[in-house]
Amino acid sequence: MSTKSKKIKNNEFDKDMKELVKARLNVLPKNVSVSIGQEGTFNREELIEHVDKEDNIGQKITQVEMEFLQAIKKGELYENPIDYQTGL
Amino acid sequence: MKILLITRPDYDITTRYLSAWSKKVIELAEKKNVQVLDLKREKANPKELKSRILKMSPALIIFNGHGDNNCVTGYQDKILIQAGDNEELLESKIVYAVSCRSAAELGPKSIQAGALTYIGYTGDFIFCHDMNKITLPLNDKIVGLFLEPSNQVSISLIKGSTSQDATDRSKQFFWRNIQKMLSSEGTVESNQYAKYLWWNMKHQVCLGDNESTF
Repeated sequence: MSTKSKKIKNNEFDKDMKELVKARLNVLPKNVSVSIGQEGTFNREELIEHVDKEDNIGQKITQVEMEFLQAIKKGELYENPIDYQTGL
Repeated sequence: MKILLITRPDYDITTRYLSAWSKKVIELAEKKNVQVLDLKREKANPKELKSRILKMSPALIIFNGHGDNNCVTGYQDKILIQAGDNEELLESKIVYAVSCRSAAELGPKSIQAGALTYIGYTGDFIFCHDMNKITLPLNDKIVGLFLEPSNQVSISLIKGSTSQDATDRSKQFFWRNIQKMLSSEGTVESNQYAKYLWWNMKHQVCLGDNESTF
């Protein structure tokens, strides 16, 4: 695959990822806010806006979402954390 | 008498929630005859912290507030402890920092400087809350999903558990809530809560002596 085709494919993946994150954030109730430390607290619309802008907060939210989905895929969420840490 | 020092800056939404939910920890400590040095609001400043640590030598220090890789902050973001500056104040203490990322750099540096144990988070500490409950944070069931598990570190230490057991218990509480959120008991939005619970659980670490007790 040429570099140009790879770039187009990566862009498409980023776009799809962004849409997935936004769609998942959209189920957050209107009265619920998310506190992200010093960054502040954000409601659903604000979070979606940050994801759209791809700024620091948007990137953090996307990272959490994608790592969480990966963990689900790997079945990590159903393993007791103490067991998988100690290997018991 | 055992002495516990706790910071509760309480000046924005995040620190208001952390401060309010820390009342449960303070109540338990007092019930167990632990002397509590409560640095609330303006008192959560570097001068007061240093003075109380040097005069009273608390064995357990709980930081509630904002933070970064190399620091934890108090009232109005004033830096309380910073790696490379004053982490030696934590020498021979058990520390639990409910703040973002401080276990990434400040934690290891504190251990190098002689802290017994540093329990904290290597990533951002993220929680969800109900905007309609801001004035009654202890009635907010959504935030309880997050702060009840994180409180387990302090509760277990006060009850005499080792640092590792306290961390394990906290992770068990996070995990239990994640399972609830992902089960049929959960609502449409539960998956969103599970995501941040998992994030906090994954980034909670116990550094230094994991057999230390308060």
